[in-house]
Amino acid sequence: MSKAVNTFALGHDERPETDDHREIMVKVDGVSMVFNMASEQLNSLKEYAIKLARRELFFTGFKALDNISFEVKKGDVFGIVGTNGSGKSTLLKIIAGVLEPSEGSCEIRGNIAPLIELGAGFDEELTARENIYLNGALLGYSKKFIDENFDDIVAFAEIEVFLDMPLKNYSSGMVARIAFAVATVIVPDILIVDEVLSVGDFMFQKKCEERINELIETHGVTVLIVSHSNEQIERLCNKVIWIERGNARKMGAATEICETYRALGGRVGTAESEARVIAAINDKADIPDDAYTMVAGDDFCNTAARAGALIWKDTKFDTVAIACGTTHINTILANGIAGAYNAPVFPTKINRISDSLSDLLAVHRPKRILFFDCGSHATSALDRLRKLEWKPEIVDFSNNGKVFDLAKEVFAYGKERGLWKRSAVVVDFADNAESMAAAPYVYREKCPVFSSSEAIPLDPHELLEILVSAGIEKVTIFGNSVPEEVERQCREHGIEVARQASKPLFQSCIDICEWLLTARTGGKGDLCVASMSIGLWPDALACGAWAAHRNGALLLQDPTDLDSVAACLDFVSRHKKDIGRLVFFGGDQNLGNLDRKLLYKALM
Amino acid sequence: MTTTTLSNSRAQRNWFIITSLVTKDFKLKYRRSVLGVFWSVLNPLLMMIVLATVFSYLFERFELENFPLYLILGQTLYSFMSEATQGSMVSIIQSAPLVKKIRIEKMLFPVSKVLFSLLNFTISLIAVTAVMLFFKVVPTFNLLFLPLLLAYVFVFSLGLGLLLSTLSVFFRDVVHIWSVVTMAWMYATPIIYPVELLRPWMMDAMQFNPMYHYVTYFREIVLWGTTPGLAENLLCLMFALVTFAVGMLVFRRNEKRFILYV
Repeated sequence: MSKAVNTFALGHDERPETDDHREIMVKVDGVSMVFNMASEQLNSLKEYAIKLARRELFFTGFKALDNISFEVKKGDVFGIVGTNGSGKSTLLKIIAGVLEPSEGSCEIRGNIAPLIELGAGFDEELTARENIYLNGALLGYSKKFIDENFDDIVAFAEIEVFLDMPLKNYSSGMVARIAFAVATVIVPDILIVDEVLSVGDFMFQKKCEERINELIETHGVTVLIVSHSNEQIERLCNKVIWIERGNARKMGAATEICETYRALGGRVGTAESEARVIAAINDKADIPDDAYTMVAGDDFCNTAARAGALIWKDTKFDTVAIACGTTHINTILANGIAGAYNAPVFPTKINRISDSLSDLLAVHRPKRILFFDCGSHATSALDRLRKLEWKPEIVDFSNNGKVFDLAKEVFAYGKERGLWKRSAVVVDFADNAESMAAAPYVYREKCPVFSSSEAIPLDPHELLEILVSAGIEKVTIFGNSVPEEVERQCREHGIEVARQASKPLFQSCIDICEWLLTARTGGKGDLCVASMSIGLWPDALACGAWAAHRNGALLLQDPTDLDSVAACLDFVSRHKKDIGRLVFFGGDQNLGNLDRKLLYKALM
Repeated sequence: MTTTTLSNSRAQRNWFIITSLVTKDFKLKYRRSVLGVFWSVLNPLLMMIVLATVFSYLFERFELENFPLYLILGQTLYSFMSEATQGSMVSIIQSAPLVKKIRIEKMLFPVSKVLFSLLNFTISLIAVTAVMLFFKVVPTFNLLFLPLLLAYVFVFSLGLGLLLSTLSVFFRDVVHIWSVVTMAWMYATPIIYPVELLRPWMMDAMQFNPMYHYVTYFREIVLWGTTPGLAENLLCLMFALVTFAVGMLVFRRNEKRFILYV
């Protein structure tokens, strides 16, 4: 699945600057930069001769910059944003005069203090004092100037005590301090800052930013900044250009470009999806503070604990399902039985029960704890539960890691107690996101869950025996990975079977969500929303119980894929009548502020 | 803090960079050694003793007057050239971080290396003086030609250095080849053996070896106390200028592409 990043220009919104008579300090005019990849790695005569003979020399071009034009006026603080490898540093090098553009021109008025990589030319063996002079010389300072400003440099870098120590004994942060101090001791006409503010501790970063601000405000220095910190760019700059893979995408006021970049930068997706998202961004609707609900703890365990506390605010639970958080399948299996007992589901870390969960348990004092741990990882967490003072009954579903065996165990337990209805769910271990999206259904319908996995495939015959013996009449399969054979066998045995899956993954998740939302009755419900990114799924573990209790479903969005974002926006606007409230799980690390706002605007 | 810092002339600025680079090399060369700069004197002396011992005792046919002085003259001057070319050859590659990040006159790197070698050579002249004193060789007014000789060798080495530093950026092979070439060249030049050893045809070929002329020039003004003639001076000058012109041309034509290859 290799999708492209859009690179076409989005139209610069140049406001008429007729009354702007400031001097043009940097004029970049149609600059293109083509690197010759063919001759790039040739380091020997032999390679050269071979390539020459094959006529491969000088042919493979890589366009790092494609026809970039802009002007920076005196006093501007001009930011360049873009994802890694989009050509930002190449552009700065051209402006700094280090690199010659292949086409176009770049005019500079005044002298330049480049901070393109601090400390170029430092020598490890020399002392700090010697390095200050050497670096100063390389930056074009005179001896006299360095003599005069030596104390300032040393004071700014805070290295008075270590002046005569070789640089190799310095920490990299201290080296960066010296380099920054040397580079900014002069007041240049143009200052070029490339990612340098990301070095050093936060105190020093602040100091650097203050120094740059001082240069901007008291000396009117023109500044060009490249940074990966969108916030920093927004804070420091007044104008910003966004380049993507060497192409200028948009240029304009800092706040505006930064907002667009935050939503679109480096995201893959078709042009249509991008247009959809841009339209959503440009929709300037008012967003009240309580527009949506956020359920977020400082990790996924606390997120789930908070969700549980909110749902069981007024009632008590006497059964609780606790699942080891190392794999999603524990929670998915837990959801069916938890639904039958009307119990909350809490994922846990392997070595401890979080304080928030402990507190919650102490308040509710559940009689029964169902513990799910495929692979027996969380033995210390289980020990903690065994030591609870009110001695709840602990049902331990731990095993050696065979998912299907665990599912059978859980099924047998439920069957004995008559917890199951007439339907069951089959998922595959690999379909992480689809399983999550299915969790609300599992919880609501109190379904036993069976899981296949690539490592230990389930035996369709065995599965069928179990299903038939328990009188299951309906099987729902979620995701594409469950083998066809299961579907066929079910049908042959007269079990009604349906598969909820499509492609690509994000669409599959939306379809499951839509199916769930359409199937329920009873007015508007909560739409739980979380990111489907690898590494963030634990945040969504608590959604099954929440969505089931609040008559809703779980929508999983991939914020790095504009197609997914656009499809989610469309989905939300399509189901205005079904969705009462958006509930976001996992805080800012999960779906960002902007993603949340876009979905809210789509709902309005 | 002032804005006038960059207004001093370009030449001044470049000179400060060169002196800073040479100072750096100088400091690094002798840092953490007990004898420090004294090694620049000691080294040629020890080399001379080894060579003189080997060649005058093992091959007794070398019966040259003041053979050790003859040796040290050729050997110090030759190492000036070889050190300068080897140093400047890799100077651009070694300064890759600077070439890539700072707008700087790239020629400063090879120049600083040649200057550094000149400095070392000047120090090793102390050793030469010691040997002259030892053999009671009386200096003549011909010594006044020394700066002229140094200028020739400096310009010649710089020309070679510029050429090699450019080539080595594009083909690292040059770095490996050059160490072999300098060794072969040393044996092809009468440094450790007397000129008389050469056959007539070899003598003819020797006319095209610049280092032969420079070494002979050096021996004339120090050891033999003769005055180099105008033709000889012109020849030395021509070798230097032609090499420099070629080196300069190649360097200037390619320096903009260095950044893509270092």
